[in-house]
Amino acid sequence: MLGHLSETIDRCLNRSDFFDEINRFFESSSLKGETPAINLYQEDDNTVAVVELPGFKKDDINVEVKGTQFRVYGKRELNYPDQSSARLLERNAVKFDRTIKLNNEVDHEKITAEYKDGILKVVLPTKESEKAKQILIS
Amino acid sequence: MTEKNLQENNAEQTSENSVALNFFRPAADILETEKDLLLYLDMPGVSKERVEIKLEKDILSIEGRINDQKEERLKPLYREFRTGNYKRSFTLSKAIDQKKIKAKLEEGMLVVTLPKSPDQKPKQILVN
Repeated sequence: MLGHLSETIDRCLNRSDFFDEINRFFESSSLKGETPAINLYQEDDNTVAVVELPGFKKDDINVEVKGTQFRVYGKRELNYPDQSSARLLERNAVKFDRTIKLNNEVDHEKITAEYKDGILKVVLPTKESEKAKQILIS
Repeated sequence: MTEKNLQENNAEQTSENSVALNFFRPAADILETEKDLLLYLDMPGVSKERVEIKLEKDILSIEGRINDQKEERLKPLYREFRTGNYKRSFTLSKAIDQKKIKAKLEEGMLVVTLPKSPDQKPKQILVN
């Protein structure tokens, strides 16, 4: 649908640079700005937080959970060779600190986190006392 | 030596729009050193086996595929980003030694090293 829209606009204006701008806006990866994006998923009784953090160092990523507050913060530096000149710069050095409210209290002992291929994945198991229980009707 | 050595291939992108719909355009940095052009691309979620770098004529095309099967069984609760594959292409000038192009993937960041052809490197001229 988006392609159709861009195509239409492109036809109307017949300007490919404008078209390119639209493409850029919709198709750029989420780390275009300074703030990494977070997705939350439900997997069985766990909440799974997924954060896109390409090119970060594991030690520069921090995760904290307090009550229902999920906090992730960190930084990405751009380590480019000293004797180099920039020809195109679209990526940013990033420093961020984000907190998101979870639906359930989390069992702190069971939280696990992994960082792979530039994706941080944190599994946040729901506290036993907060899990829905099936009640038998007699 | 100018940025003309590595130019984004916009023409192709426009003509391939219908195909490119499912692809994100990864953010890129290009740096030039004395010996190389260095291309950095953000492609979170892409593993080494899923990167395809092709060089056809003078067009360097880069494609990265994510493993989206992993997320299929997850039920979305809150969404700030969409996941998808990545694709972007660049036009190389003759000044790049195409046989010596190298690439590595560091935590979702692809680094492509494009060595300049020997005759393009600055030469020290001795003055007698």
